[in-house]
Amino acid sequence: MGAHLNAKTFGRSRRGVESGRRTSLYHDRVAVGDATRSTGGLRTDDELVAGSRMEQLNQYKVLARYNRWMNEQLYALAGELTDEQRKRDLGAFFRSIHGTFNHLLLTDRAWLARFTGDRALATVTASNGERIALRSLDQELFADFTELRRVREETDSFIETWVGTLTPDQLAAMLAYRDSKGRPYEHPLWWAVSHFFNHQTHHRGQVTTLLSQLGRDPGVTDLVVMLHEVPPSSGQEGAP
Amino acid sequence: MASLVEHFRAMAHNNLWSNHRLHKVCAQLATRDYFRDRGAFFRSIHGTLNHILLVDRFYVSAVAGEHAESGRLDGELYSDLPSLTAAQAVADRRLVALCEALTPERLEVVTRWTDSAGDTCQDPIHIVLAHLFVHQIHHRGQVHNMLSGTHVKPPQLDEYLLSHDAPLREADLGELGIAR
Repeated sequence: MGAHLNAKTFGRSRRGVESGRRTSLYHDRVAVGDATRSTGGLRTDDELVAGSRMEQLNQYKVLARYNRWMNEQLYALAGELTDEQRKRDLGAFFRSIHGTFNHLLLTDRAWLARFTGDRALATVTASNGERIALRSLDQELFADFTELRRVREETDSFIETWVGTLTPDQLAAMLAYRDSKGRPYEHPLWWAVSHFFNHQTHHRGQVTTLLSQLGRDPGVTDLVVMLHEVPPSSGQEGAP
Repeated sequence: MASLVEHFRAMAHNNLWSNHRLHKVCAQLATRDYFRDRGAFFRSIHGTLNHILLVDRFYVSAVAGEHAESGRLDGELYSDLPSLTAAQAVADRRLVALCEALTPERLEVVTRWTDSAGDTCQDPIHIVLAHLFVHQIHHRGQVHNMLSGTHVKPPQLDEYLLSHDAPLREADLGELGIAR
């Protein structure tokens, strides 16, 4: 099963490359087909560095897309399970699929509140209008899957929008914040942004194993497949 | 100075550190727990660790500009953890060295390899690295999840980049002989 699915990564997903179809999905300076280098070679060092800084932003845009794409797939699969299966304690760090989903939503929003300074992001709003504040890392924000999914989708759209507004200077600027125990910290914003996306991937990896253990194929999870096969603006219907 | 090169260097060090922590904990497992089929995508902790190394080696070769050819993705490179751990460390340090040598220009070099269907594929190095780093973390997350079902405590793996986690990784970085 594993070999079959991953064969897609190494085979089918590459077809667009030879035709150059994929280039605009990620990065507009890559001229696919040039085996050595794609950028003309006349830029100064400063321009190259500036280009690399822009590419760091592109990297985060891609990871924001990957986050949405993966969450759409995993929530769609989890939506086919019973509520008991989603909440079943399978011995994961946050016990269940439901527990891990809650943790990811909570931590994503806590970081977004730090990134933007908007304290409203450190809360979630239930469909009945009730505001729920983030308190602890294993807090259950929503018991109801539909509510969880709705706020997940809102949050993922927000992440993409926010990353789209970032500038290279903002990435390099210092981020000052206090942790849950009130201790102050300060470091470049990009450290935390890289951490933010790694953290998502780490916990989604856990969820895929929980899905496998419930007999569900987690599907294709490879970033490179998304880049080659999924149009940037696609919703759920675009996932392979 | 923030740049994509710096991001990839941090990710390569994160990978070295994370695998060190993960393998160290896996070494505490009873043999039957380590090999036990837990219904994961690559069945067991052993199967998933093998898959991580196999794919790492493949893409590291591609990034290094060597001819890389994909074999079976569920293949067993090593049948025991100590051999796997040693080989993983070699691959991880090679990836660190490659990332340390990266330049903005180098990121845009298009690298080619042969996929499991025998077709030639190509991508710029920055795409290969972006994919590889996500792949590693994704599968370590699976191993982490399986460890939660054993008697050993899974290590914290998602706290490399932040300064307030420095005390957490101090001992590991000493063992690895790196300061970052």
